[in-house]
Amino acid sequence: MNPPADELGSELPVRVQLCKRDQQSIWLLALIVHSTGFLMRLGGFSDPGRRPAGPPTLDRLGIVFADGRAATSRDRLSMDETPLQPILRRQRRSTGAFSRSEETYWVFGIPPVGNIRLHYVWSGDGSRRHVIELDSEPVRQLAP
Amino acid sequence: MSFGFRRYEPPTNQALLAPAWAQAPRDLVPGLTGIRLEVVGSGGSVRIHSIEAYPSGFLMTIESRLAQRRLSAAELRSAARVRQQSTNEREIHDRMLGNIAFTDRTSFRIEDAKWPPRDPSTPAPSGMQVILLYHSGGSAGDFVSIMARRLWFTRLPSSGQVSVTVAWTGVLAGRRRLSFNADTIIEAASTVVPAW
Repeated sequence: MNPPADELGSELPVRVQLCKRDQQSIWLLALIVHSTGFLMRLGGFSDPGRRPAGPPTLDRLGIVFADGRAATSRDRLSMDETPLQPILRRQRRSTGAFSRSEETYWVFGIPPVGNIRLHYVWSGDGSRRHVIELDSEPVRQLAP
Repeated sequence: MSFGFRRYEPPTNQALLAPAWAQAPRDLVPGLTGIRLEVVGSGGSVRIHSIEAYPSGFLMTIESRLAQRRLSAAELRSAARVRQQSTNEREIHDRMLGNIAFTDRTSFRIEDAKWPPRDPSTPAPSGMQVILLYHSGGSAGDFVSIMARRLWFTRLPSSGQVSVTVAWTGVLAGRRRLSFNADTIIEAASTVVPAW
């Protein structure tokens, strides 16, 4: 359920804006690729002098591989069964007073050839459903 | 009886404000460098990562990673024992010392990094400063305890090699050195984009 502790991982810069309202936005900044999966590092940007439109992090996130396998950050895992890939878990979340907010998700599973689809909801823009696609090839190339 | 989450309400209190020079710009998405480095010892490791560049400075995370001892079932049942273990780990993390040096001969001790001034009118210092934006501890799973320190350097580095020397008694043998090219940061600083 975590990146292998003895692997440093390789960073793949992405910088895709996921959602925005007024002077606030959430971005997918980078992927950290490991042998068994990848971390997604998100950043929440806002003007500290203004009331934010919504929370600094996503409310819901799901991932779909090109072969149809899918996971969401709200899936419940059974401790009695071998988990099926992919698995999506929020690892860390920080909302420092002097820095932007950070959120990290761990995706257990290397995606197959094709696009990765991210589905997400942010209450700051009225909980609209968003979808973006990322090419899995750079992730596959970096996976040791 | 029903349960539900309270609707999100933006905070109404005045946010903590620091001078603009003492933190990374909030309206720009930084240039990313992809730099990830690690030195490994018998009891843990030190990683440098998430180096992000802005025209006015750069961010860097230095993370100490400590191999955790597996507590027995009996120890895990004792809240005091678990708390003691956590305190011990925190003290070990605090023993990690680091020094970062640039080619223009400026250097900083990482443990000397200060929190941002709380007065927004505090004037900017003439040279580079290292600001501690936050430090956070936790577990990376698989019995690894981590302590991450997020640092803001208030200037871009001079061109050439940046060298980070770390010493961590009982975890790393001797002083260990990591280095990377500052030009990667300087180039990334020119790729910032507006956040909205």
